[in-house]
Amino acid sequence: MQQAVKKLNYEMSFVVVSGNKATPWRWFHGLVDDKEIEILTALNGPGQQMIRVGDVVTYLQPEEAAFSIKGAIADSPLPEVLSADPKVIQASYDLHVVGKSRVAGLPARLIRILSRQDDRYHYWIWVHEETGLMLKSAVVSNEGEVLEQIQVSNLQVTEESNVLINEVAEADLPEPYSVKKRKTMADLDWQIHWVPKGFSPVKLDRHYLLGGREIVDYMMLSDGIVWCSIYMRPLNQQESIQPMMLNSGAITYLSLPMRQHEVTLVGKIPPQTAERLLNSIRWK
Amino acid sequence: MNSKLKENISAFVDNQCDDNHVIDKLKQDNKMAGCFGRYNLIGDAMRNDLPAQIDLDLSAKIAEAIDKEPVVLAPNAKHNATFNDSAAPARRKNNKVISIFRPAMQYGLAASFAAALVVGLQVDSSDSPVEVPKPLIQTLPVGGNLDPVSMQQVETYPQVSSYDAERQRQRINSYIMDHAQQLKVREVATRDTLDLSQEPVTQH
Repeated sequence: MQQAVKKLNYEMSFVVVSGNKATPWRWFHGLVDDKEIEILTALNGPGQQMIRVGDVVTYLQPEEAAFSIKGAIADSPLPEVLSADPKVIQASYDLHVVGKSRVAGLPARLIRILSRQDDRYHYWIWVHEETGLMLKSAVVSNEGEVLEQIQVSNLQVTEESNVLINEVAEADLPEPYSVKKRKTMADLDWQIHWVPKGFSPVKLDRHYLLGGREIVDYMMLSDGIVWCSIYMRPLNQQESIQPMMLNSGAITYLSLPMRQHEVTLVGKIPPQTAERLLNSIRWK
Repeated sequence: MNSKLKENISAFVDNQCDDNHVIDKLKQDNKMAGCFGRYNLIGDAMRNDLPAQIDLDLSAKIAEAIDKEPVVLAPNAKHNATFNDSAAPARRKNNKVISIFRPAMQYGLAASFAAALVVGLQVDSSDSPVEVPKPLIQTLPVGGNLDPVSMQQVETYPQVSSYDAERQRQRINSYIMDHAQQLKVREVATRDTLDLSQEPVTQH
């Protein structure tokens, strides 16, 4: 499956359905001089694009300067399992090839990627029998509820790479930033005492909240498939906040007051897991 | 109320109405009057023209005010006459054209409601004298990520002071945007960075 994603020239249109929102995308992928190039374009609303050339991802957004990041995973609407290392997937999930069906007018096979623990969501991927490309995918809760879906409506696999891909190969893209050096656990005065099995911190820093004027301690946790953010913000003496939990598709937002701090988690994990994670935080 | 009437009201709000009967009908029908009020409100929202406080009970108040107006005993009879005969065939012809456009019209309405919601949720940073260093990279959430506008609150908690609640609402947007940005600048997760053999943070 992953070989196909990387080695073929193809173009597909798909729709991401999350909650009551549907977002159409177009995805071009190709190889130019053995270098992987892909373009993802949002078809609705203000134009949003991401372009990946080898290990450099460039984001093009309306009213913002384009920027590139080196050695990063593209933050795309596509399921992370498509690009994750199979060994990383197998560390926390079981793969089951289930049945045959017809998706997007093509013969498909359903692969269920099931979490061994019930503390995270499961992934169902329908792949094209011939090429192994994704035709449909779903994020499913333990209760079997579909939280988020992607449905491909059109897939074309071609011998030659698309004209757009060739143009990108020639284009001048912004110089890539590399990801900054991070802090270590020792720099923090707090610690998480429980994480779902297989999760570990992949990023730690202290920064100004985007669009806000608050400085936060930041920790990113991941098992290689799911990424979630934990924020720790000290509260002023007279400031009070209410615990708050919000859901949108598979994403959980949870914010709790703890020891005159506002502790917040954002990520695609079940609400119960988010709650257990935050409640395990202790100060040194 | 049929959609033809709604379209007439909509056209009237947009000053594109050539049918004078709409005004007459508006005056007679409470439901239509309510519709007229809402369309005007949507229009205001889209033009970013909303008053600080929206009085949603406007239509009732207008109806009340109209009730208090002295009754005119000789309404414009000419309009009433044409309403019944000569204009009828022309309207029937129009009907066909409009029925083709109805779906688009309805989508248009849905979009304007969304616009009104976004207007309501925009973060007001004008009260901030503090200079915040601009982050190195500005990003927007990629489609498929959390959309603050469409979120559903799972539980409701007792009210805090509205100032704190408002700030908290603003911060929710900030956290969600920040999470989206962090996803863009994360490193490639490999077996080395993930450290699957041991879990340094946990004490199971």
